[in-house]
Amino acid sequence: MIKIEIGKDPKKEKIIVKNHEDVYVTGNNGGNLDLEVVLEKEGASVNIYGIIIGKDADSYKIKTTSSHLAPNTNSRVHIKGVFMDSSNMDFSGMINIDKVAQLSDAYLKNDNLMIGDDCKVNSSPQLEIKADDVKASHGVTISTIDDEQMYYLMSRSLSYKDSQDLLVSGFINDIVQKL
Amino acid sequence: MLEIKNLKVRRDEKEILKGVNLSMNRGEIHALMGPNGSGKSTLAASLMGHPDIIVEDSSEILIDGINIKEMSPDQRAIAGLFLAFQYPIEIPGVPFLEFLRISYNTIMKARIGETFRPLSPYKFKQMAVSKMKILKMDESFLDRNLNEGFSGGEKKKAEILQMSILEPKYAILDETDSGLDVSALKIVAIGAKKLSEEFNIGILVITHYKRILEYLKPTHVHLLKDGVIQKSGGYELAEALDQKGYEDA
Amino acid sequence: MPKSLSNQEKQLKKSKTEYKEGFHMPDSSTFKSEKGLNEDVIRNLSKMKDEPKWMLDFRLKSYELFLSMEMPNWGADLSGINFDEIHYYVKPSDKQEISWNDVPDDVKTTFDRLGVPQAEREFLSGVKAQYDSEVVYGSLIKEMSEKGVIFLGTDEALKKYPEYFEEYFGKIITPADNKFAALNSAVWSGGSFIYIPKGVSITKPLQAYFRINAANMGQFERTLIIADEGSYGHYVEGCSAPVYTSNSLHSAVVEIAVKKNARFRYTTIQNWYSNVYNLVTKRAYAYKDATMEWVDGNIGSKVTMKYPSVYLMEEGARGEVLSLAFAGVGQHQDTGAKMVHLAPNTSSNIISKSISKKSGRATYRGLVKVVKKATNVKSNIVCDALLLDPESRTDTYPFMKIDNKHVKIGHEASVSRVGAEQLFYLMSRGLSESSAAALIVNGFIEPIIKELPMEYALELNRLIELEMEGSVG
Repeated sequence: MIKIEIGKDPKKEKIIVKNHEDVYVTGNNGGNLDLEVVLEKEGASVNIYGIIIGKDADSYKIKTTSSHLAPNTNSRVHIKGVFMDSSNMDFSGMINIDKVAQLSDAYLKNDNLMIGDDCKVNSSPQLEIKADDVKASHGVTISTIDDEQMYYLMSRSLSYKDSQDLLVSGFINDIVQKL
Repeated sequence: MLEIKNLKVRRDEKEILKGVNLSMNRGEIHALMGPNGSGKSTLAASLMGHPDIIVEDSSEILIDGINIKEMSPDQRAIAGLFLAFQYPIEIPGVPFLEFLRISYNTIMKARIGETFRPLSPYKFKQMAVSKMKILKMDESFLDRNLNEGFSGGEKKKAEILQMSILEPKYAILDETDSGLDVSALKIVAIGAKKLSEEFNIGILVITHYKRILEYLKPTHVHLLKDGVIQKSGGYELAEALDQKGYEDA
Repeated sequence: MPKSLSNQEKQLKKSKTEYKEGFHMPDSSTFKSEKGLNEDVIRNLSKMKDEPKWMLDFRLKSYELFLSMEMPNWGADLSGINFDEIHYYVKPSDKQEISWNDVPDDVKTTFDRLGVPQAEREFLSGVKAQYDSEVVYGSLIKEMSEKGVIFLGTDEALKKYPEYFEEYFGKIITPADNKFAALNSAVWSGGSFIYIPKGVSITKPLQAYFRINAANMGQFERTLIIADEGSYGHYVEGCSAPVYTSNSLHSAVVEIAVKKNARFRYTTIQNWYSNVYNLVTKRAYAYKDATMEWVDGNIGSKVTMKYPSVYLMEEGARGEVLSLAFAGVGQHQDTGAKMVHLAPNTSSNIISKSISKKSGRATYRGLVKVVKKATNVKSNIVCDALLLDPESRTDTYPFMKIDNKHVKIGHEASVSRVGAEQLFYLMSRGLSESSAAALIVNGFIEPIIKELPMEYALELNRLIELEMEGSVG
């Protein structure tokens, strides 16, 4: 597993995958990351999981690129962000499937929980597909904490903060499990 | 007669069927049983002309004396072959009724020729609804998209409905019983048997289990194992396989 | 804009008596503009049309902006456009008529297959410059004029209803918006003007098609539509039959104001011939509890860049875009939608379906923007792309810019091909391979087809079947 921690210094990483890689990205204090994963051998596969936490005035600029340059390659990117206070994120996730990369399977998901009253989220999942016998899909969700869920937890005597913490940890839990 | 002679097929560069021989007359009901991976579904797909299956030159598939081996799936349908899929495919955005009508008009026109008068949409719908009643299928399915969101049982009923509308000479039922509850199974099996009698359809029913055969009452039972038909017999063979399993058969 | 009842009555009278004139082009002496664009061309153009001074000033200022602006550095390849080779104004009555022999064979074949009536074929292919549709649609004209609906060519409307122009023209889309809006603002000619009075519902779609004259198929149409409070209207333009033209640049602007509680739908089916650069700016302002719907079908052209947008200005406003793109050999459809949420309790929905064939490229470009004060916003986007063969291409570039946390934003996109299993299943039911593929493709675009008026839906389905022949196997 490759661990990348987004920090003060902007990071630019290019990972060439020949077999399989699991990449885990975390952010806790803002920062920039440009991550490119290149699947250049037939059958190569990669998973990229990320948990991005924004608080105070944290600012993130994150770009991921999954490049499929060989047939039968597989990529799965799942980034979750939680934004409090006045934090913000600019996310761009590209899936690029080359003409020769037939039978590839690519997936990207970005889920965002906006909690702070002044937070901002920009998200742009992108596809550039030049082979037809492939599976490529992506999804983005942006929302705030569900009022109904908060109400339910609080009616079970959890404090506002504890309810919120519980929902946030529930939100990022599936990614945490991959670690 | 449906004649399968020395059927050898490959799929994904693996030889699945190694010389299957089977003949069936119109109006007869044959059962094909065998362990998982024996090639039962591959046999069904080969007969219908699945593009991923490669059939050896020496093999022959004949419908009433005509070799259909080089024909595309639509030509085989016109020649009178029907396959009830084990996993019917969903086609989003295509209404079930619309699909039935196009299929019916295409096949009937090809079989009957210039004198064929397509039914008006209204008359066609009436015909479809009356056949659906027999299968206890609700009329509302006609407005839904082809197989989209249909439950397992509904998909299987829809397959038999298509069979009743297209009036084939020979039909292959590929594990039609899988995923069906007791009452749906009865409706589907009895429906198929009645169609066989009404239109003199030769049915090859592919299955693991005896239950559907209790309704269909096949006169011929075949055991497909290791890519060939190892044993054939009457209904008693089905009972023996059901009791003892495939290992020492 | 508040209008006293007597003013409205005056307008009604005006529109009834002068309605018919909207269908005739003003008489003129022969005028042929030379190639290329300069201030003189614009001054002449404005003089020919006998426009008020403010419009000439507006054109000249827009021309300056056009010269100063850069070509977009994103989107499709526009390097093939030669601005100096274009005639920027040709009087419709002077339009060159070509002979039927010069009409390309593929255009003729499509006309045959779609069953396009002869008179329309001659018009669509440029063999005839005019299409006299008054006789056919007389009763529709009468019905609308009785309700007080104004439906005229933009040139005429500017003369007769200057007050609407002063209020809205160039305000929803300013010339500075982009280089092609600036160009259109400088040389616009033709297009439609529609005003629907308060509370009036137009039950049958208004078709530009029926108001056909050459100006509607012009290069630089400018359309302005105002749906007053509580009104309902549906405008349809274009047709799925191919339109053959020697004009290689089509740069239109459409501005729409949908006032409180009104609902408006604008449907376009575009099938320009494969030499055309189709660059269009379309925007609607939706006010309180108003709904704006764009149904955008892009079948033809060499390059189309078009992103119908809705600015949700006040609470309760709703915007919807249904976009269909077919990119065949050598085509690039770069299309999408923009939704800008400027007020709370607004919602938007975008569905985009594209099909790419052979060397065709279909690109989705979209924006959903929610400003800080726009609380409680819902927006849903679905983009699906179908690739028919290994040479076809698709891209998706959606942007979500969200500045308020009280939102529910969802975006999904997928790319797929016509499945071998789906083909096998349909073929096993007697359909030939191309019929099966056509059925699958029609099913793929069904969510959009079902929103089209019936004649368009049927024509489009037939067109797709025609395109599908020879695209599989």
